[in-house]
Amino acid sequence: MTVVADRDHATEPARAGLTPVQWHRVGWTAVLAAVAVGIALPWMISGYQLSQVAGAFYLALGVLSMNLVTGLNGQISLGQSAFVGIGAYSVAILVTDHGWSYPAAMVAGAVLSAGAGVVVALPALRLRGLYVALTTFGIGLVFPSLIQKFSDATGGTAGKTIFPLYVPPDFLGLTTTEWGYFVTLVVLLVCLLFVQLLKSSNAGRMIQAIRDADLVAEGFGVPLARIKVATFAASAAIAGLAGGVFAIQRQFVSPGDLGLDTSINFFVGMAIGGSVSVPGAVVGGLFLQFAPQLTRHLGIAPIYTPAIYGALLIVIIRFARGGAAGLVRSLIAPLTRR
Amino acid sequence: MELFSQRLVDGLSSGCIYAALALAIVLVFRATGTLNLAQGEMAMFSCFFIWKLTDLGWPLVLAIVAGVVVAFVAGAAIERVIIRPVEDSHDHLPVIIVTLGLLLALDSLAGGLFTVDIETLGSPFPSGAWHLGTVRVPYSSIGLFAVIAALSGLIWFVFQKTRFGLAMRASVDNPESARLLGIRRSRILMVGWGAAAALGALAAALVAPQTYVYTGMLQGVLLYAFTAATLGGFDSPAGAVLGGLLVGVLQAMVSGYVHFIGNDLSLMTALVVIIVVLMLKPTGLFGRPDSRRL
Repeated sequence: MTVVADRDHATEPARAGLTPVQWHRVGWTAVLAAVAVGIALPWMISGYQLSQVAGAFYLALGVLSMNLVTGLNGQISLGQSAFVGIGAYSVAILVTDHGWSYPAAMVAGAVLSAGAGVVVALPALRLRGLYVALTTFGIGLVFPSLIQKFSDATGGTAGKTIFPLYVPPDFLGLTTTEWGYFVTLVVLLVCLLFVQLLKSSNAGRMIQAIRDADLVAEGFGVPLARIKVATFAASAAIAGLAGGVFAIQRQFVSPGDLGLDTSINFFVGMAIGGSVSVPGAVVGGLFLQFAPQLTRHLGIAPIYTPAIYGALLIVIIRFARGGAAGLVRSLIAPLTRR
Repeated sequence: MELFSQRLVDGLSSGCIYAALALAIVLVFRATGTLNLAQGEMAMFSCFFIWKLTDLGWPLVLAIVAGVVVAFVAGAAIERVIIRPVEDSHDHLPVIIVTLGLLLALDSLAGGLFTVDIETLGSPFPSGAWHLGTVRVPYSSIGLFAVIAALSGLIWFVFQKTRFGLAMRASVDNPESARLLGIRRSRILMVGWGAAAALGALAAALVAPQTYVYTGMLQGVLLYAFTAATLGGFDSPAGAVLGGLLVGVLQAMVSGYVHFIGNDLSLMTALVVIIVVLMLKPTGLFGRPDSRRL
């Protein structure tokens, strides 16, 4: 979707009086400051507000999974909601009915999501073109009916309450809301770091080369199918972890939150934040969490929120492919021009 | 045997609906080279429009005709205003994402502008059935067969026997050369999207008596239609019709005879068919293999 510029910082000239290495430091300082704010947040805002931010971080994980598979690899996945669902229901079922610990159930959920993703998308991933969009559209649509079919284990349409509660260790002295927030924060930071490191690694360049010119990439010896399947599996695993933190935050899962529209919302979040930007995923998550409240304050009926999302998606693709990250970049560009 | 024949008839009649929507998908694919994920939502929106007209007192058949005409114009307008600016024959992602935006927007607007309730729309065909031995063939099914047969014939005629169809095929096969020969690709794209929207509107109006009219009325139907198009081959109108009928029959048989699947998991059947086709014969029954020049 975007042209990958030369990422080799050493060859870039100084911008706005700062060398690339110094820009790099500015970037990392900003990241560390953001992390510090993230850690201090429970002591800065109310419990309700904290649960809202935790919700935004869950959405950011979903958006990040979309960034990886669509933004970087150029595959359209509409099945992220189903992978989130597999992660969430794994935690719900393994913890409630089988006595697993929460972390173990979350990891199991991520593995199951990745496995399901590979099984369903493998035939499409071998092919070029739109087939991934097609099969994942199917997964997203079918998932809620699977939950209803196996209602003995899943609780069906009514949903399933997770028991026992995920309580923090005593010595930390945290409330369950704060604990849920910190678990989400840690999972989010680990996944952000993973995608950021992957993006700038050798494998990451192959992933993006497939998006930009698959035939050329293949000519240069990039194993197309293997990279596509691995990327898809990693994305599904991140979505599965998102489902795990979702289950921990709510202590309740139901198919109503896991339909095709959830996948499309992640898509909107990705477009808002910038499809190839890792910090953009957090921007996208915050947008998805707080935009509905904003439109309600503006007096727009909630039923029109998806219409606004849809219009935004169309406008962003038309005028601002880079999303928020791209806007920031193009705002900085004139300042840094010598 | 009666049960089998009855399921065959029922399957064929829902297959007609899938065939009509699959034809719409194939038309867009042939014109633009992409999937229109909002095809179902566009049809649903048109169906709400038709329902609104009947609600205002229009006779049903007139309302359907008006709805189909309006859908044609709206489909062409959507192509011109929303799709064209992001159209790129080398990169299909932008168009697909825009159709996703369209899906969200239409879904929400239909609920907001019309209603979030479940409404009913009558059938344009007489009620009652023709009894063939013990098998009941509803008049509505016969009407559906007739409509789909006529539509398929019309589309075949336009594609194969008219200059416009020739231009359309040429423009898909080789856009650059076609344009050099004076074929206006832009007009072909608009007509392709308009025709697809019109087909979708008709399919939605015909399926509405069974599904009722609500914002999610075509979600499942769209997946069956995608399955039909995959099975028949995305660039083959004949394949779409045959695929639609096959998928309809398969769905009726699997739901009828495999108790575990029943009606709850019939969407799953569609997904499995897509996956199996992609594994065994990705071009579908009548599609041509995808080849690209470097």
